[in-house]
Amino acid sequence: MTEEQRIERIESYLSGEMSQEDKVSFESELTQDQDLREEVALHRKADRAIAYLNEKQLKQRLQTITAGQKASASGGRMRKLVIRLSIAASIVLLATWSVLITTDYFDQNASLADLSEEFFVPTQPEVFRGEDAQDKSSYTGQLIEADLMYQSGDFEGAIAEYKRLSLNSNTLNDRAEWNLAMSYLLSESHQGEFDALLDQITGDTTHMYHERALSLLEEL
Amino acid sequence: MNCTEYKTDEDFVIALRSGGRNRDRAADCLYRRYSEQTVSSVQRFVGYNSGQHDEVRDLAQDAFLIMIRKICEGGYNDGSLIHFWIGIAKGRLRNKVKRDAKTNLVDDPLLFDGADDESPETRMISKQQLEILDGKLDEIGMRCKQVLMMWARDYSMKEIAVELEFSSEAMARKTKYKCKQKLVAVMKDIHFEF
Repeated sequence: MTEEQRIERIESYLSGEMSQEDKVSFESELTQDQDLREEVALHRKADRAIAYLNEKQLKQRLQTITAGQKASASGGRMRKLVIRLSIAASIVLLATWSVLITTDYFDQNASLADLSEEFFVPTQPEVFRGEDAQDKSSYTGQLIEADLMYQSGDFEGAIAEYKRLSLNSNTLNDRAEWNLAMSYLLSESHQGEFDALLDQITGDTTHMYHERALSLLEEL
Repeated sequence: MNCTEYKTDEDFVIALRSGGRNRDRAADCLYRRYSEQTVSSVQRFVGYNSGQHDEVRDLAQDAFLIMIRKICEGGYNDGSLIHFWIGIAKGRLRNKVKRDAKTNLVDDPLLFDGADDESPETRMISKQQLEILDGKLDEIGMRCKQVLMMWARDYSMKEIAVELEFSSEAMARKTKYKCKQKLVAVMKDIHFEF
């Protein structure tokens, strides 16, 4: 038995996945082998340590969700105040805007394109192994198709694909969600959805692109 | 986050028990759906005092961790999840009150006796011990922590390989094995129970 198999056997015993027959045999070994007993005890301790890390991480996530819920609730109260202030501010802005619009001060499309280049995550077929990426019925293949739509400027097509993948794929959903956010950013009619999705990803510390979302938020 | 896929409590339980990304997503959605109701219920149980709101929320979060563990380990059969959660929270509160007899609680049928089933995150081991444990766990490195944490949450090796961008499942498996060995080695230096 290799070292790896021996460890798998201990893990199988501790997780309760061992068959009754193997369990009886293993426990009989345990009564006779002091080293094995110590090793099992260490693995049990290691498992508890991992469970501790997971619960600590989950609790942090719950606190983030709670903070988001509190922010949404206070957002409702703030909204009325913001509307009043917005009316006053818009009068001032209108005057300023008329000056700025005649200059090249805003080149929004160019800056969005820069952001897109910096933050978009193209799927690299080699990460997922070639054969899977070639198969358009696989999630990886579909993700690459969506990337191609995005890169060719078909944002509505890309949005539909990424949205579907983010709901259906259990393993690529974070990647699909991230590129969905990038598609929203570049399309002209999804600003609200972009804000909501970016808000969600920045609020979810377990999201694969959490850090990237925070960086994007900073740039914006 | 789209949580509409979970129509019933059974949908949550199935997703939580399936492990991996499904479990993480279901846990987030379950918390989002019932946390306000749970906190309000526990708040009423202690008698309204706005100063205790954060404390009650903290207690509800600890109860949530216990509930998720129980569901995943088969310690939940049927009945409403929110009642299960509230029951655990109130059980924990009752135990706290026994230790610190300052709060009068109303009688409640939802008290749950399994609320003492603790882990280091929900049980107060000394701050110094937690610091030692955290320090030792840091020794195995962030990458190892991620792999082992995902493995313990029943992510498949394929999922781990994709999420952490390993070149293959076999590479993810090999890394997990090495990381587990590292962790077992550092556990030799932990001389207290947790």
